[in-house]
Amino acid sequence: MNGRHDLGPAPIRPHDLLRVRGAGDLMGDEPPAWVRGALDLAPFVVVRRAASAPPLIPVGVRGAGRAQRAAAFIPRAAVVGRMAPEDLAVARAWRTTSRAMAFPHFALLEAVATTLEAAGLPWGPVGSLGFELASGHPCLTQTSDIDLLLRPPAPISRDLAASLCAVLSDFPIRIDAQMDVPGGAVALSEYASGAARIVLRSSDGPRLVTDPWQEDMP
Amino acid sequence: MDVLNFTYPGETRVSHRAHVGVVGSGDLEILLEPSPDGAAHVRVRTSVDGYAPIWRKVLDRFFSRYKGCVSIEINDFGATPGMVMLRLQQAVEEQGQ
Repeated sequence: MNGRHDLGPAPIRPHDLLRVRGAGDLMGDEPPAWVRGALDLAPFVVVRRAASAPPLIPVGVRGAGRAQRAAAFIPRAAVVGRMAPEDLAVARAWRTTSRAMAFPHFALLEAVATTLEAAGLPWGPVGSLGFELASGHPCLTQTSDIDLLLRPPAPISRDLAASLCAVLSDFPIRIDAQMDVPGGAVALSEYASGAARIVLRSSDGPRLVTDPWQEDMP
Repeated sequence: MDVLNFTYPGETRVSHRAHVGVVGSGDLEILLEPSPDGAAHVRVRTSVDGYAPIWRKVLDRFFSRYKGCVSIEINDFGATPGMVMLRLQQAVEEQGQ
Protein backbone atom coordinates (compact mmCIF):
# COMPACT_ATOMS: atom_id res chain seq x y z
CA MET A 1 0.00 0.00 0.00
CA ASN A 2 1.50 3.33 -0.87
CA GLY A 3 -1.57 5.53 -0.74
CA ARG A 4 -1.24 6.74 -4.31
CA HIS A 5 -4.87 6.19 -5.05
CA ASP A 6 -7.09 8.36 -7.15
CA LEU A 7 -9.10 10.86 -5.18
CA GLY A 8 -12.12 9.46 -6.98
CA PRO A 9 -15.68 10.67 -6.75
CA ALA A 10 -16.36 9.44 -3.20
CA PRO A 11 -16.79 12.15 -0.59
CA ILE A 12 -13.97 12.52 1.89
CA ARG A 13 -15.15 11.20 5.24
CA PRO A 14 -13.83 11.02 8.81
CA HIS A 15 -11.17 8.31 9.24
CA ASP A 16 -10.09 8.53 5.60
CA LEU A 17 -6.31 8.63 5.29
CA LEU A 18 -5.07 11.40 3.05
CA ARG A 19 -1.65 11.50 1.51
CA VAL A 20 -0.32 15.04 1.59
CA ARG A 21 2.78 16.77 0.35
CA GLY A 22 4.04 17.93 3.72
CA ALA A 23 3.59 20.19 6.70
CA GLY A 24 3.68 23.28 4.50
CA ASP A 25 0.14 22.61 3.32
CA LEU A 26 -1.37 22.52 6.80
CA MET A 27 -3.54 25.40 7.85
CA GLY A 28 -4.86 26.49 11.22
CA ASP A 29 -2.94 27.20 14.38
CA GLU A 30 0.82 26.90 14.24
CA PRO A 31 1.39 23.13 14.55
CA PRO A 32 3.63 21.67 17.26
CA ALA A 33 7.30 21.29 16.34
CA TRP A 34 7.12 17.50 15.88
CA VAL A 35 4.55 17.74 13.07
CA ARG A 36 7.03 18.50 10.30
CA GLY A 37 9.19 15.50 11.13
CA ALA A 38 6.17 13.23 11.46
CA LEU A 39 4.92 14.18 8.01
CA ASP A 40 8.41 13.77 6.54
CA LEU A 41 8.39 10.19 7.84
CA ALA A 42 4.82 9.40 6.79
CA PRO A 43 3.04 12.06 4.72
CA PHE A 44 -0.45 11.00 5.80
CA VAL A 45 -3.14 12.71 7.80
CA VAL A 46 -6.43 11.36 9.13
CA VAL A 47 -9.70 13.12 8.41
CA ARG A 48 -11.24 14.33 11.67
CA ARG A 49 -14.90 14.58 12.51
CA ALA A 50 -15.24 18.34 12.83
CA ALA A 51 -17.04 21.25 11.27
CA SER A 52 -15.17 22.93 8.43
CA ALA A 53 -15.61 25.21 5.48
CA PRO A 54 -15.83 22.93 2.38
CA PRO A 55 -12.52 23.49 0.58
CA LEU A 56 -10.75 22.89 3.88
CA ILE A 57 -10.68 19.38 5.33
CA PRO A 58 -10.29 18.91 9.10
CA VAL A 59 -7.42 16.51 9.68
CA GLY A 60 -5.31 15.09 12.47
CA VAL A 61 -1.58 14.49 12.38
CA ARG A 62 -0.23 11.47 14.19
CA GLY A 63 3.23 11.59 15.74
CA ALA A 64 5.10 9.18 17.96
CA GLY A 65 3.16 8.04 21.00
CA ARG A 66 -0.35 8.86 22.12
CA ALA A 67 0.39 12.39 23.25
CA GLN A 68 1.48 13.48 19.78
CA ARG A 69 -1.74 14.33 18.00
CA ALA A 70 -2.30 17.65 16.29
CA ALA A 71 -5.43 19.07 14.71
CA ALA A 72 -5.18 21.08 11.50
CA PHE A 73 -6.94 21.80 8.24
CA ILE A 74 -5.78 21.05 4.75
CA PRO A 75 -7.06 22.40 1.42
CA ARG A 76 -8.57 19.75 -0.82
CA ALA A 77 -6.11 20.74 -3.55
CA ALA A 78 -3.19 19.70 -1.34
CA VAL A 79 -4.44 16.13 -1.05
CA VAL A 80 -2.52 13.84 -3.39
CA GLY A 81 -4.08 10.51 -2.41
CA ARG A 82 -6.92 9.12 -0.38
CA MET A 83 -7.59 5.78 1.19
CA ALA A 84 -10.80 5.00 3.04
CA PRO A 85 -10.71 2.37 5.81
CA GLU A 86 -12.87 0.05 3.72
CA ASP A 87 -10.35 0.28 0.86
CA LEU A 88 -7.80 -1.34 3.17
CA ALA A 89 -10.24 -4.15 3.93
CA VAL A 90 -11.21 -4.70 0.31
CA ALA A 91 -7.53 -4.84 -0.65
CA ARG A 92 -6.75 -7.19 2.28
CA ALA A 93 -3.85 -4.82 2.95
CA TRP A 94 -2.72 -6.82 6.01
CA ARG A 95 -1.73 -9.81 3.91
CA THR A 96 1.25 -8.02 2.44
CA THR A 97 2.63 -6.17 5.44
CA SER A 98 6.20 -6.97 6.43
CA ARG A 99 5.33 -6.80 10.13
CA ALA A 100 2.75 -9.61 10.10
CA MET A 101 5.09 -11.92 12.00
CA ALA A 102 5.74 -9.36 14.73
CA PHE A 103 2.12 -8.38 15.39
CA PRO A 104 -0.84 -10.76 15.63
CA HIS A 105 -3.17 -7.85 14.80
CA PHE A 106 -2.72 -8.33 11.09
CA ALA A 107 -3.67 -12.00 11.00
CA LEU A 108 -6.68 -11.31 13.21
CA LEU A 109 -8.05 -8.95 10.58
CA GLU A 110 -8.63 -12.03 8.46
CA ALA A 111 -11.09 -13.32 11.07
CA VAL A 112 -12.57 -9.85 11.51
CA ALA A 113 -13.22 -9.73 7.78
CA THR A 114 -14.98 -13.09 7.86
CA THR A 115 -17.20 -12.04 10.77
CA LEU A 116 -18.20 -8.65 9.45
CA GLU A 117 -18.56 -9.58 5.83
CA ALA A 118 -20.80 -12.52 6.75
CA ALA A 119 -23.06 -9.91 8.35
CA GLY A 120 -22.96 -7.83 5.16
CA LEU A 121 -21.12 -4.95 6.80
CA PRO A 122 -18.55 -2.83 4.98
CA TRP A 123 -15.71 -2.14 7.41
CA GLY A 124 -12.11 -1.13 7.68
CA PRO A 125 -9.22 -0.84 10.12
CA VAL A 126 -8.65 2.61 11.61
CA GLY A 127 -6.42 4.02 14.35
CA SER A 128 -2.78 2.98 14.44
CA LEU A 129 -3.50 -0.23 12.53
CA GLY A 130 -5.22 1.58 9.66
CA PHE A 131 -2.53 4.23 9.62
CA GLU A 132 0.23 1.67 9.40
CA LEU A 133 -1.52 -0.26 6.63
CA ALA A 134 -2.18 2.86 4.57
CA SER A 135 1.17 4.56 5.06
CA GLY A 136 3.57 1.66 5.55
CA HIS A 137 4.94 3.57 8.51
CA PRO A 138 5.27 1.37 11.62
CA CYS A 139 3.06 2.68 14.41
CA LEU A 140 1.44 -0.39 15.93
CA THR A 141 2.79 -1.41 19.31
CA GLN A 142 2.27 -4.61 21.27
CA THR A 143 -0.32 -2.81 23.39
CA SER A 144 -2.29 -1.42 20.45
CA ASP A 145 -5.98 -2.27 20.20
CA ILE A 146 -7.57 -3.20 16.93
CA ASP A 147 -9.63 -0.15 15.98
CA LEU A 148 -12.39 -0.84 13.47
CA LEU A 149 -14.91 1.28 11.64
CA LEU A 150 -18.17 -0.30 10.44
CA ARG A 151 -20.14 1.40 7.72
CA PRO A 152 -23.54 -0.33 7.56
CA PRO A 153 -25.43 0.54 4.36
CA ALA A 154 -28.69 0.41 6.34
CA PRO A 155 -29.60 0.46 10.03
CA ILE A 156 -28.60 -2.66 11.95
CA SER A 157 -30.43 -3.90 15.03
CA ARG A 158 -29.06 -3.76 18.54
CA ASP A 159 -29.32 -7.55 18.59
CA LEU A 160 -27.03 -7.89 15.59
CA ALA A 161 -24.63 -5.38 17.15
CA ALA A 162 -24.64 -7.40 20.37
CA SER A 163 -23.91 -10.66 18.58
CA LEU A 164 -21.05 -9.02 16.66
CA CYS A 165 -19.64 -7.63 19.92
CA ALA A 166 -19.84 -11.08 21.46
CA VAL A 167 -17.80 -12.57 18.63
CA LEU A 168 -15.28 -9.71 18.53
CA SER A 169 -14.78 -9.71 22.30
CA ASP A 170 -13.54 -13.31 22.12
CA PHE A 171 -10.57 -12.26 20.02
CA PRO A 172 -7.21 -12.31 21.82
CA ILE A 173 -6.61 -8.60 21.15
CA ARG A 174 -9.07 -5.95 22.32
CA ILE A 175 -11.25 -4.71 19.49
CA ASP A 176 -12.66 -1.20 19.54
CA ALA A 177 -15.38 -0.88 16.92
CA GLN A 178 -17.14 2.30 15.90
CA MET A 179 -20.14 2.35 13.62
CA ASP A 180 -21.01 5.06 11.14
CA VAL A 181 -24.59 6.31 11.33
CA PRO A 182 -26.14 9.13 9.27
CA GLY A 183 -25.32 11.83 11.82
CA GLY A 184 -21.84 10.67 12.79
CA ALA A 185 -20.61 7.57 14.59
CA VAL A 186 -21.35 5.55 17.73
CA ALA A 187 -19.44 2.90 19.65
CA LEU A 188 -20.71 -0.50 18.55
CA SER A 189 -20.53 -1.79 22.13
CA GLU A 190 -22.59 1.09 23.50
CA TYR A 191 -25.23 0.65 20.80
CA ALA A 192 -25.27 -3.07 21.58
CA SER A 193 -25.51 -2.50 25.34
CA GLY A 194 -29.13 -1.45 25.12
CA ALA A 195 -28.40 1.77 27.04
CA ALA A 196 -31.31 4.20 26.80
CA ARG A 197 -29.07 7.00 25.61
CA ILE A 198 -25.77 6.64 23.81
CA VAL A 199 -23.16 9.07 22.59
CA LEU A 200 -23.29 10.13 18.98
CA ARG A 201 -20.06 11.67 17.76
CA SER A 202 -21.10 14.29 15.25
CA SER A 203 -19.17 16.98 13.45
CA ASP A 204 -20.62 19.42 16.00
CA GLY A 205 -19.20 17.39 18.86
CA PRO A 206 -20.60 14.52 20.95
CA ARG A 207 -24.20 14.38 22.13
CA LEU A 208 -26.57 11.88 23.73
CA VAL A 209 -29.21 10.29 21.54
CA THR A 210 -31.81 7.57 22.00
CA ASP A 211 -31.81 6.22 18.44
CA PRO A 212 -28.68 7.01 16.42
CA TRP A 213 -30.41 6.02 13.17
CA GLN A 214 -33.00 8.74 13.63
CA GLU A 215 -30.49 11.55 13.92
CA ASP A 216 -30.09 13.70 10.83
CA MET A 217 -27.05 14.09 8.70
CA PRO A 218 -24.86 16.93 9.95
CA MET B 1 -0.36 6.24 31.85
CA ASP B 2 -1.18 9.03 34.30
CA VAL B 3 -3.26 8.73 37.46
CA LEU B 4 -4.67 12.04 38.64
CA ASN B 5 -6.62 12.80 41.80
CA PHE B 6 -8.92 15.74 42.43
CA THR B 7 -11.14 16.76 45.34
CA TYR B 8 -13.99 19.26 45.35
CA PRO B 9 -16.39 20.41 48.05
CA GLY B 10 -19.73 18.59 48.00
CA GLU B 11 -23.11 19.70 49.33
CA THR B 12 -25.71 17.19 48.18
CA ARG B 13 -25.70 13.56 49.23
CA VAL B 14 -26.28 11.00 46.51
CA SER B 15 -27.56 7.48 47.07
CA HIS B 16 -27.09 5.60 43.82
CA ARG B 17 -24.33 4.48 41.52
CA ALA B 18 -23.97 4.98 37.81
CA HIS B 19 -21.72 3.45 35.19
CA VAL B 20 -21.53 5.10 31.79
CA GLY B 21 -19.21 5.26 28.82
CA VAL B 22 -17.16 2.98 26.69
CA VAL B 23 -13.69 1.49 26.78
CA GLY B 24 -12.53 2.75 23.41
CA SER B 25 -10.45 5.33 21.59
CA GLY B 26 -11.57 8.88 22.20
CA ASP B 27 -14.01 7.79 24.87
CA LEU B 28 -13.99 7.18 28.60
CA GLU B 29 -15.65 5.08 31.22
CA ILE B 30 -17.08 6.64 34.37
CA LEU B 31 -18.07 4.90 37.58
CA LEU B 32 -19.90 7.21 39.97
CA GLU B 33 -20.89 6.26 43.52
CA PRO B 34 -21.75 7.94 46.81
CA SER B 35 -18.73 9.53 48.46
CA PRO B 36 -17.65 8.21 51.88
CA ASP B 37 -17.38 11.80 53.15
CA GLY B 38 -18.83 15.22 52.43
CA ALA B 39 -16.61 15.91 49.47
CA ALA B 40 -16.38 14.93 45.81
CA HIS B 41 -13.42 12.80 44.80
CA VAL B 42 -12.28 12.11 41.28
CA ARG B 43 -9.61 9.66 40.21
CA VAL B 44 -8.60 9.79 36.57
CA ARG B 45 -6.61 7.02 34.92
CA THR B 46 -5.67 8.21 31.48
CA SER B 47 -3.82 6.54 28.66
CA VAL B 48 -2.57 9.93 27.48
CA ASP B 49 0.13 11.50 29.63
CA GLY B 50 0.70 15.19 30.17
CA TYR B 51 -2.88 16.45 30.24
CA ALA B 52 -3.25 17.14 33.98
CA PRO B 53 -3.88 20.90 33.48
CA ILE B 54 -6.67 20.15 30.96
CA TRP B 55 -8.30 17.66 33.34
CA ARG B 56 -8.12 20.24 36.11
CA LYS B 57 -9.86 22.77 33.88
CA VAL B 58 -12.62 20.40 32.75
CA LEU B 59 -13.32 19.12 36.26
CA ASP B 60 -13.20 22.63 37.77
CA ARG B 61 -15.86 23.63 35.28
CA PHE B 62 -18.01 20.59 35.98
CA PHE B 63 -17.84 20.96 39.77
CA SER B 64 -18.51 24.69 39.61
CA ARG B 65 -22.13 23.66 38.97
CA TYR B 66 -22.43 20.14 40.32
CA LYS B 67 -22.26 19.78 44.10
CA GLY B 68 -22.92 16.09 44.68
CA CYS B 69 -20.90 14.15 47.27
CA VAL B 70 -19.61 11.57 44.83
CA SER B 71 -16.63 9.34 44.23
CA ILE B 72 -15.88 9.20 40.54
CA GLU B 73 -13.50 6.79 38.83
CA ILE B 74 -12.61 7.71 35.27
CA ASN B 75 -10.82 5.45 32.82
CA ASP B 76 -9.86 7.66 29.92
CA PHE B 77 -8.82 6.59 26.45
CA GLY B 78 -7.99 9.94 24.96
CA ALA B 79 -11.43 11.59 25.16
CA THR B 80 -11.81 15.23 24.21
CA PRO B 81 -12.90 17.70 26.91
CA GLY B 82 -16.32 17.84 25.22
CA MET B 83 -16.70 14.07 25.51
CA VAL B 84 -15.59 14.15 29.15
CA MET B 85 -18.19 16.80 30.05
CA LEU B 86 -20.94 14.90 28.25
CA ARG B 87 -20.12 11.63 30.00
CA LEU B 88 -19.94 13.36 33.40
CA GLN B 89 -23.39 14.87 32.82
CA GLN B 90 -24.68 11.49 31.68
CA ALA B 91 -23.31 9.79 34.81
CA VAL B 92 -24.91 12.38 37.10
CA GLU B 93 -28.26 12.13 35.31
CA GLU B 94 -28.27 8.34 35.44
CA GLN B 95 -27.37 8.40 39.11
CA GLY B 96 -30.40 10.60 39.74
CA GLN B 97 -32.81 8.25 38.01
